[in-house]
Amino acid sequence: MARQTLTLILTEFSAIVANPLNQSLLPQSLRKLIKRGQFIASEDKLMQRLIALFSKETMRCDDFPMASLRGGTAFSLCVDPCYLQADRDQLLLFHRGLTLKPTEAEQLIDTIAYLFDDLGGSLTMHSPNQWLLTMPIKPDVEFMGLDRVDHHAVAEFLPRGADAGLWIRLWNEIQMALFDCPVNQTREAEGKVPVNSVWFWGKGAMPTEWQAWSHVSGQDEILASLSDHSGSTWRDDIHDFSNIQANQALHLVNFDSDKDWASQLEALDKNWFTPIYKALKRFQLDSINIIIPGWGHYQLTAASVWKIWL
Amino acid sequence: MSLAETQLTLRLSPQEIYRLDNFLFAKQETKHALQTFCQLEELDFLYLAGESGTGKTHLLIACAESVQQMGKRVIYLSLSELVKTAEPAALQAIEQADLLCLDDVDAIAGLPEWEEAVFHCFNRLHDAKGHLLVSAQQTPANSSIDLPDLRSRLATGLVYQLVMMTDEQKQQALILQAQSRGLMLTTDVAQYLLRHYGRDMPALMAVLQELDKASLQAKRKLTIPFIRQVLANG
Repeated sequence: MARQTLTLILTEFSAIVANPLNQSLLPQSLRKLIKRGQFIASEDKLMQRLIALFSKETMRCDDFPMASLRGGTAFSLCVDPCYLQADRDQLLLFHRGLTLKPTEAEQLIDTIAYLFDDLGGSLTMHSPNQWLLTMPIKPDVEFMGLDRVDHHAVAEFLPRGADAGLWIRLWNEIQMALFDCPVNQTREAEGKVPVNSVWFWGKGAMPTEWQAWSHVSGQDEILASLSDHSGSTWRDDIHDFSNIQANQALHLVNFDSDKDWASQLEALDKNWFTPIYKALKRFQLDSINIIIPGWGHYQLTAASVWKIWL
Repeated sequence: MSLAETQLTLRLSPQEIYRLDNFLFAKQETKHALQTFCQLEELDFLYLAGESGTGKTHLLIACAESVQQMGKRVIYLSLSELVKTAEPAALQAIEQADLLCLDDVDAIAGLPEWEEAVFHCFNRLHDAKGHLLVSAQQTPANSSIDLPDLRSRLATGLVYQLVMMTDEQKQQALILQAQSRGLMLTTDVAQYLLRHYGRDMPALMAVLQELDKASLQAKRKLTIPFIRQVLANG
């Protein structure tokens, strides 16, 4: 008998489960899984969760090895474009949802590239929303991963370490260079938010001992990249639980909290939650680990779902 | 009824409420034995025999919940459901438990692989000093299980026979179950349910569950006209 275990990541689901009123919107099958599972709380965000899943050792870090995953060297950094919004006495950072055309990104990089000359750094475009800085030396500074900062006030996430002052000064100079540059004038005229800042991050350490999975699926660039590094096979064509046959499977479900919840939950119930519940109850699936980044995870075995009094 | 027409309710209680104190025992001896068993001290194997509708599942789940609340590891499985959906090897996969509750054990009678799997499961549990609670329609002496080793293993349990309730007892059981849901069910209304919706206790409990939900949504008491309206729509 195959011993199948599944790790299911539900992105942006904390918006639902963290609010008791929203929990009533959850499909019955998921409610049962949640009630009958063992819950372990964790505030770790998606990237921290992902790196931990692909590492055999316990990794506790604020930053993420994104620069390495983007093909950078040990001396590379991510310098991602973002929008800083002044909100009373704090500055809020927004990266997710900011869309840039390749030509806009090229012009913005040209606008600020000279500021890295003193460091001997070279700024290039990995994709319009993802830029990479490569330097001849490793800076003595600690950064905070972008997913921790995104949509939050930046004050408590600023760089730390011996070179922190230099990087904060550089960050301010970049903001001055971007302020009122032609690309931003055009964007604002079109009703779009300006790209008035960047966020330095992505120099976290890669796992020294990778954890490979017999199946990885889900449409996520980082997941694909980590799969590749760990020697796992990643697939982007899995849309329901019945297509997963592997013994040790990892799947990421993209829930978009900015889109219609009801239709997304209905589809997830049909394709994932109900089939998973049934498979567990029939002992066709041995165990499941449901991870909700920023909230925690629920562990269940086949016997757990039989706790029908819960 | 569409979502827009329905008042959404926050579910504060489970769909079914299984407790020893909301079960109407015909014999207090059975209640005492189950209460003692749930302490997991004196007794290690109890066997509940009774026809369908005598409350075996209710009691197994009530014990399971009570023992779990003591922080013990509990597994409940319904063999009548499992034989239809799973392979016998499923029983090898279950983790170690302080209490294993196996409902409808006679569902495996005549299925050699299942009988053997249950026998080995009992042995593993026994070796690990786990406790066992079994239910079946027949007593071990009358069981139609073929495997002699399993029959003799089942005969080592302390057997309690559950009897079918009289109509009057069913009325009381309904009222008791309604009370544990925070519902007021009068004798007249309980009689009405028995007269119009059958005398099968599991079916009546399902009706009560439906009425509980409807009563909460409509903020109405359980009256005969309200019950007629709800069950006609359902």
